[in-house]
Amino acid sequence: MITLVRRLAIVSVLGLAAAAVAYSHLIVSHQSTVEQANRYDLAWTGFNGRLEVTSLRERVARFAATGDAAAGDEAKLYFQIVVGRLNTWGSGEFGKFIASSPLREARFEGLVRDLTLLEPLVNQIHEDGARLQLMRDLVAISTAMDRIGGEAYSASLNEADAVRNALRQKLEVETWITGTLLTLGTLLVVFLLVQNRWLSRANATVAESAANHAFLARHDALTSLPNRLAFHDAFALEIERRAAGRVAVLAIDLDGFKAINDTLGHSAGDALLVAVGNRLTRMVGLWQDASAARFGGDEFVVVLRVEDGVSEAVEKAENLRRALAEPYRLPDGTVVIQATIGVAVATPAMPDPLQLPDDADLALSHAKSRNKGTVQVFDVTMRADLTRRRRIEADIITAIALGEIAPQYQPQVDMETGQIIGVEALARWTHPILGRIGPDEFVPIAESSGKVVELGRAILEKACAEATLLPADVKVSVNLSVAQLVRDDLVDTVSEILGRTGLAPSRLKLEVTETIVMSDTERCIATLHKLKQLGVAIALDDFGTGYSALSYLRLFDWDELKVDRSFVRSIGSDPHSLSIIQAVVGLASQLGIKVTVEGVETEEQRNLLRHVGCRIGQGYLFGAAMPLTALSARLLRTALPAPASRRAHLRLVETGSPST
Amino acid sequence: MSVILRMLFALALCLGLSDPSAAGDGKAIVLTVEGNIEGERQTFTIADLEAMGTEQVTTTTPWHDGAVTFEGVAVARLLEHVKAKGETAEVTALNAYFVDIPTEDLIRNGAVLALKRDGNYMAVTDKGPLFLIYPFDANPALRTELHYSRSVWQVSSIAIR
Repeated sequence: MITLVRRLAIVSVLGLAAAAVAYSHLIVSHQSTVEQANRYDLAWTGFNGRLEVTSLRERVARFAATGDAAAGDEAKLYFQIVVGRLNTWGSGEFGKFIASSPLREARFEGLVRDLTLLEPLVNQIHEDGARLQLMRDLVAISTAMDRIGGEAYSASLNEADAVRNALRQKLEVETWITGTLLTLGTLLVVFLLVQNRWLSRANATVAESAANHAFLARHDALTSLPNRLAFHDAFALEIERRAAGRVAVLAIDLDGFKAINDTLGHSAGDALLVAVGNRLTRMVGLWQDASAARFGGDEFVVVLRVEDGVSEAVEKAENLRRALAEPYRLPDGTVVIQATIGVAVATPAMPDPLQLPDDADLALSHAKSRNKGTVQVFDVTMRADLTRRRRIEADIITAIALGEIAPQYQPQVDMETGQIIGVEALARWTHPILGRIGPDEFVPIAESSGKVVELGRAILEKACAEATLLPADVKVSVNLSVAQLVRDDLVDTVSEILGRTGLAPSRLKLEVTETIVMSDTERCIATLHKLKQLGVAIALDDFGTGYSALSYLRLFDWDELKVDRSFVRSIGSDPHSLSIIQAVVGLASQLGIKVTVEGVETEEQRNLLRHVGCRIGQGYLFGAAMPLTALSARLLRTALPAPASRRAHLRLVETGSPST
Repeated sequence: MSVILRMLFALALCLGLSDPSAAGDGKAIVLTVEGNIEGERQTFTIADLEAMGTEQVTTTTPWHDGAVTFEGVAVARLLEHVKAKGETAEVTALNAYFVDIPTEDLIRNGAVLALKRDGNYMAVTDKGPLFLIYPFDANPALRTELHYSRSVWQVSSIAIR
């Protein structure tokens, strides 16, 4: 379309140029036509000739009638005038007219010859005979001059007509050219208008896309909420503004959003985020001086002004949390999701209010690690927690290398005999500055920072090595993390460690939790099979806390179930717990699986458990996790007459460090 | 046609020589000027006119073949000579043809009252004895019907109005 109009415009311009050239040609030819029209008038010359010969005849006649000498002289003068006239006829423009017709030329020649013959008669005008002859001959001369004069008149008329025709034709051509000029001019104007419209449309498009880009740079593409960049600018402005009240920041995170994304798909996840964004916008719109932003993923942030400080901020955060917990109707179905909210409120004494979003985020992290689905207000100890967490994260690899993180061993006891039949290796960290750090604290940090594989491997290796120093009938249990289990080299690693440390595979027991197996069941089961082929025993840890424990019993040939401590804790108060344990023990014995109960803390619990058929127990009643040396001493104390294999252990006690 | 013209020319010559008004002797009165001038009426012989001083004009005309050289008195000089005080000159010819010409036109366009054509005095048969001529070649804008009509041959009198 554009090229068509451009071509049209070029043709118009060329046409205009051609029309202009034609027009100037026309003007030149006009001039020649005008000159033609201005030409010498043949008719006039012809007409005067006829008058003169008539005058000559009239003078001759008057002389004949009156004999007046003046008339005779005039007759002679007029004869000369007539001769002069023929002279004029014979030359110049009239001469050309005469010559244009052979017949006319012949007639003219005859006329001249006849006139020449009259000259002697004119000179003898006083003689009657000559005069009569003259008068007779002049009739013929007059007729011939009339004839030529008349022809000149006709020729003149024809010429005038031709000029008129030429003018009319040229006028017609001129009309056409003028029409063409007007048409082409109009076309050009139209083209200009069209192009103008295109240009302004293109301008509008450019402006629109520029505005779009500006919007996109500061807004989240999915929810159209302001993004982190826009939030920080708005937040800085809000801090600057000396408005009434105090600035508060809410950091919001959806609990289990990843699971929804994984199970329902990304489009459902995106739809949920959009719905959350809409709900946030609607809620925040009800508050004065408040705005919401999306920082990415399922992280949202709200900045608002509160009159009554923390209590008002918490109240609003609670409202928000409840609103977000309402079911979402998405195209893929209805979703319920909780939100955890961290709250930070500016205090008048705050040195750097710009830190508020970080504080809110810290409160959020704190809540996520402890109480998901709640509102948590920031307090300064959380910043200390963060510092400690970062320190732990930074030091973890060095600690593994230096042996600061090492296994301690909690005994697993035969509740009938009191004999220690195994130990569970539990990672313990004594930090040179921070002191003792519990696994509850550093294991999640190691997991989140991707260092849990190294940690697990170090504990496994150390436990295997130290187990060789224990009596051969004491087995060692080591926990496997999900990160370890999904790695391709786990079987090789275990096999290599067993080979290097010389620990008999039958003395190693690897514990996995139900949730680990859930994450990638087929692959995990395959790995567990390979491990079992090495001769290693596999225990299912935290049994009874998952969703479908019984089906997992079918999936794999477990060597041992470890009943979760939560059952044991409540057996005194809740008779169902004991029934469940009894059922599990019965089921396990039928399947040929050993059972260990965890968290045995009192004699009463031991007795109850023994009563329902539990053999092996683990818990504070039988001892907390202890270093190898303490364990060795304990083994020595409870030892019955020592079998040969325990000598190594005795040696260790004699030479090891005395710390217990 | 050239034979015919030669015949006419010969006829003109012989007529011219025999004609009493011809310019031959220079004593005959060839021009009368009257009207709004000094003395109301003045007459001129060829010699009188020549005495005013002559100039030459070479030009083509619609009545001649090829360029022709005329010699005569500038009309401006003649009007000055007679102290003409009028806007129009009524020029009359022997054949009673007359035309009104603005004196300003005669002066501005350099009209000449010619006595000679190509060095010869002009007979009546050759548009003589006086021929009012414009320099058409020097000023092509004069080549119009109007100035052709003002080029009067066989001029006999001029009246200033």
